[in-house]
Order: sequence, then structure tokens, then C-alpha cells
Amino acid sequence: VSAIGDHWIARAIRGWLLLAALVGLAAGLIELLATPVDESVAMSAFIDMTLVLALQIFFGNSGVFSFGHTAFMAIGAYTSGLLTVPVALKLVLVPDAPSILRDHETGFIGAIAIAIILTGLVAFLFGVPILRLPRIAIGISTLGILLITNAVLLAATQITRGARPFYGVPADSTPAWIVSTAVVAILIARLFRESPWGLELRASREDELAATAMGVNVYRIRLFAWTLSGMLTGVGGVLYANYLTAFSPDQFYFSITFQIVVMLIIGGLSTVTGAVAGTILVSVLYEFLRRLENGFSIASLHVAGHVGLTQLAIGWLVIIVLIVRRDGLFGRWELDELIPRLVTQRHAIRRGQAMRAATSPEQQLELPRDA
Amino acid sequence: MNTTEIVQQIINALALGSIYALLALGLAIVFSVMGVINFAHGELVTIAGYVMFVLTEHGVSWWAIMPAAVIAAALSAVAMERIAFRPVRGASVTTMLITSFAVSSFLQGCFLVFISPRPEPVPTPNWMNENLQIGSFQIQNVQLATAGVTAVALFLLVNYFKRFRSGIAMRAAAEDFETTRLMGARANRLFPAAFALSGALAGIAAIFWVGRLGTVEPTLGLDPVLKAFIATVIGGFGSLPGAVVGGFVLGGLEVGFAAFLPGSVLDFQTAFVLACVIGLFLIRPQGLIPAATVERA
Repeated sequence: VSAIGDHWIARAIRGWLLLAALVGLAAGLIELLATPVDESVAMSAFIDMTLVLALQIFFGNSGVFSFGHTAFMAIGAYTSGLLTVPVALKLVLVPDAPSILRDHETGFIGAIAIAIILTGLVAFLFGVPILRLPRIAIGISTLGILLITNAVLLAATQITRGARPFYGVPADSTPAWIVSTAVVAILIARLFRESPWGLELRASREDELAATAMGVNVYRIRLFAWTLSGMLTGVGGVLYANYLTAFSPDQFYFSITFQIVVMLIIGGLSTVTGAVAGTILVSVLYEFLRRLENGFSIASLHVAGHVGLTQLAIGWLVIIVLIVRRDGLFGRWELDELIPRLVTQRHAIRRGQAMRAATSPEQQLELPRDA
Repeated sequence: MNTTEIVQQIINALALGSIYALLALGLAIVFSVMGVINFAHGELVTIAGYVMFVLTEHGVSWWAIMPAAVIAAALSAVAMERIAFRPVRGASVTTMLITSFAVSSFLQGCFLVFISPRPEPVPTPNWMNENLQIGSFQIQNVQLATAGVTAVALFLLVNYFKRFRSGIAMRAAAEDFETTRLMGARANRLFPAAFALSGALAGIAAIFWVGRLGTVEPTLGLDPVLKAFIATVIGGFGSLPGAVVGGFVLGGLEVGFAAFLPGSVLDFQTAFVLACVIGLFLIRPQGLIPAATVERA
């Protein structure tokens, strides 16, 4: 039961409307004002947002780290690649694929639907054995999922073209698709977070033993969050594939895993607001650093760029954030909780000062921090 | 396949396994003492590799290069602990895992910016690649050296853990850190010592790893850290003897699959090895030799 006392769905929708309005506003401004280059940067950021929100659903609420999400993203991307590439091109691209894959195409919506089913299935099948393990062991096993997926993508050359790029994927990920998926992802993530199951999962994050003792079936909720999160990541993978139109297995390995995790960590992994804000912030930073890497000119002075600046700076930033502000920028509060909280906090401080002035030291009560 | 070939494969497996054992042991020491899953362990190998690159460029003798690489890796590990891990001490395993992720990214960035994005040559001395003929078996000197050095390192380490006060403290900390602290062991000494040890092991492994590759590049560390990871999982995460056993098991699995899989599915070797590991994980979630640790959050 929340302090505000309203229904969890109402709370989720209120928070969603606030974030969706901000995201929609940003997308609208980009559509109106941005150059094509900036727009393409923004669109990658919105695809990342879906991926970050998907990760937040599992990692953020359960506190269990996952490397496996990049694997679900890869599965989504390759599924869409195989389903949306026109049959004529597939004869050239993957001539040795089984005919059911080679001689049919489904279009974008069909690809999304099948990717959701497939990633959901894969996530569920991996989740059943893995999520029963102790917390650290789960994180390590998910690394296995990533490594196996990568090894299979590289080895199953007849279907995936192995290390060679998979190209010719139709550019069906329009800005409208990308932004609306992100907005829907915010709703899903927020609904799950506020739901009784989300609350129970968050409780297990803080203290697994206590949550279990209170009757929470941690395994079952983790499995649900994991599967849901995997499906949403799969959708993100489809958007990624049909936005880039060409990709290869090494794009679904450690560097993207790190990038998505950084976005979530910097914003604050326990909130949806943190996921959204972190994505935007880190995307802007990545883009800024990428331009710096290419070198820049101030007046007539040209400063040569350096490959590797991005990794160096992002790594350094994350270390600093983890040392100084471990819960991320937004800590434990959603934006819609933070605004009224800031107001009441100011009240509480003023009340506290008034009380302290009015009472003798023995009578002074310490106000609880969250009052 | 005849007996000679089988013995040959066993030799290969032992040589490969001993590198994995060194790497895995380094990872396990740091994890068991401090609770850090150190993803930046691979970068220690890279650092040692770059030291070897710079020194060979200047024509330094290999007898000086090898200890220099080990010392450089050990010092880097200590610096890593001081700068990145000590400030987040006591945080959850996940937080420290991400910290190590960040350290790894930071170091790779440094290699790219300050050294070079291209692979740099580390010419290996001739004796490493020469073969030793024993009966009908061919043993590369580097294989022999790897196995020999690993054996010596493990022997010294076992003695250190058994006889020295700090070694005993480290084993105690691996089992129950809080109690070890109450017994008077100082965390600020124990942690750097654990990291130094782990770095030194990574440095030794690096000599052979880079020696086999002949080049060093910024992303070199990924492969060693992944192997070490898998090996520690096989052996039992946080268990020191387990890490060593896990290293040899992983080496055996890789060589075995490479030798016995038919050519058509050879590409799937990695997937097969990992499937075996996950299978093992399901039967024995604690690994082959479970760690006797108090559960960490």
C-alpha cells in the first residue's frame, strides 16, 4: 500500500503519462528541428530506451544482473532479418537456409510478433533452470547465454551468414514505430514495477530471505519478469535490425551490453524514470564523445581526435557514479513521486525546525528521514 | 585415433589447462576475498602484454621481460583495487561487477588512446616455439614451460596459503570475511595482497598467452577473462582449488571437442563446451569443488 493510498494501476498510469509526455515532446522537437544526422542519433537513442527499459524490468526490479539480454536482442534482430528480407534477396543472402525460412517473408508486424514469441520462448526455457540458482550464479549463467548465442550466430552460417554482415533488411523501423515502442515500453515497465508482483520482486531485491519468509515466490516472479523483459528486448532487437538494415554477430556482444547497462546504472536502475533519463543522458554523452573522437575544430585550430576516448570517458564516468551516487541520478524515486516529495520534504524540514525551536532538548523527537 | 595421438592431446590439454588454471585462480582469489567478480582481470593480461611489447622493442632480454610483466600486472591490480574497488567496498556483488566492467572499458580506452588500436607484435623467443622430441611425442617448449611454471606457481601458492600468516588470513577471509576481520586481519592490507596475487598470476598467464599469440591489442583481455570465468564456474565459484581444477577441465573439454568433433560441427565447438558447462551447472550448481563461503548478498 503506497503512502498516497491510490491504486497501483492509477499510479503507474500517472507516472507513464508524465514520462510519455516528456518523451513525446522530445521526439516532436527532434522531428521539427533536428538535422537528419541528429535525428538518426536520436532514433538510436529511442531504440536503446526500449532495450534499457526491458532490462530495467528484470535487472532493476530483481537486482539480478543479466548478460543474457544482449542475446535476446540478437535473436530478435536475426529473426526479423530472416523474416523481413524479400525472398528474392534471400536466395542470394542465405541460399542454404531451410526453405521455410528462405522462401517466405512476413513483413515487419509479423516479424515483431514472431520475435516476441520466439524470444519469450527462449527466455522462458533458459529461465526455468537458471533462475532457481543463487543470485550470483544467475548472473554468471546469463553470461553463458550470451556466449552460446554468439557462438551459434557465428557457427550457423547457413542461416545467419556467420561473421559476415547480414544485410538488405528493409528499413521498416520508422521514427513513429521507434518512439511509440519506447512509449509503450515505459508503460509496460511502469505497470510491472507498480504491480503487486513488481513490489514483491523489489522486496526480494532488498532481502531475498525476508521476502521469501513473507510468502513471496521469488523464483516464479523472477521467471515472469525475465520472460517479459526478454520479449521486450526482442522487440528492441527487431527495431535495431530494421533501423540499421545491416548487422553482424559482433554487434550483439560485450560493447552493446555495457552500453545498455551504463544507461540504466547512470539513471538509476530501480526506477523507470532513471532508465529513461539515463538513456537520454548517456546517448547525448556517447554522441558528444564520438564527435570528439573524430577530431574537432575551434576557430582555425584543429584538434585531432583519438579512437578510444568514448570507452575511456564512459568507464571513468561509471566508476565515479558508482562511488559517489551508487543508486544513480534518480535514486529510488520516480519522477511523479519525486515532485510531491520535494514539496513535502521542504514542509517537513520547516516543521522540524519549528518543533526544535519550541521544545526542550529532552522532548525533541527525531523525525524519520522519509517523513 | 591411436595411443600416441591421445597422449599428444592430453599434453595439449594440460598445457592449455594450466594457463586457464592460472587465470581462473587469480579471478577466484579476488572474488572469494573481496566479493568482486573482476571483469577487468583480462586487462591485466593486456597490460603485461604491452610491457612485453615495449621491452622487446628495446631489446631487453626475456629473462628480464618475464618478471617485469608479472610485476607490472601485480602493481596494476593493486592500483585497480585502490582506485576503483576500495571506494565501493561492501556494495553488492552486482555493483562491483559493474565497477569492474567500467574499469575494463576505461583501460581498453586507455590502450586505444595512449598506445594503439592496432595489434602490436611481441616476437617470442625462438626457444618457445621449438619442439622437444620425447620418444614419439612432440612437445612444444612453450607447452612444457607453461605446465612447469604453473606447477611451480601453484606449489608456491599452496605453501603461501598454508604457512604464511597473510596466506592463512586470505583463506580465512575467503570463507568468512567478517570473522577474519574480527580476528585482527586488516582489510586494507588483505585486499591489496589478494589483488597483487591475482595480478601476478595474470602476469604469468600473460607471458604464455601473449607468447602463443605473438601480438597484443587493446581487446586482448576479453578471451582470457571469459575462459577464467568459465573455469571458475566449473570448479565452484569462489573456491580456490576449484578454480585450478576448473581450468584443467576447461582445457580438457576444449582440446577434446577440437580433436573428436567431426569437421562439419567443429564450428560449434564453443557452443558445445558451454553447453557442457551449463549442464554441469544444473547438476552441481555449486561447481565441482564448492566454496565454503558464507552466502553473500
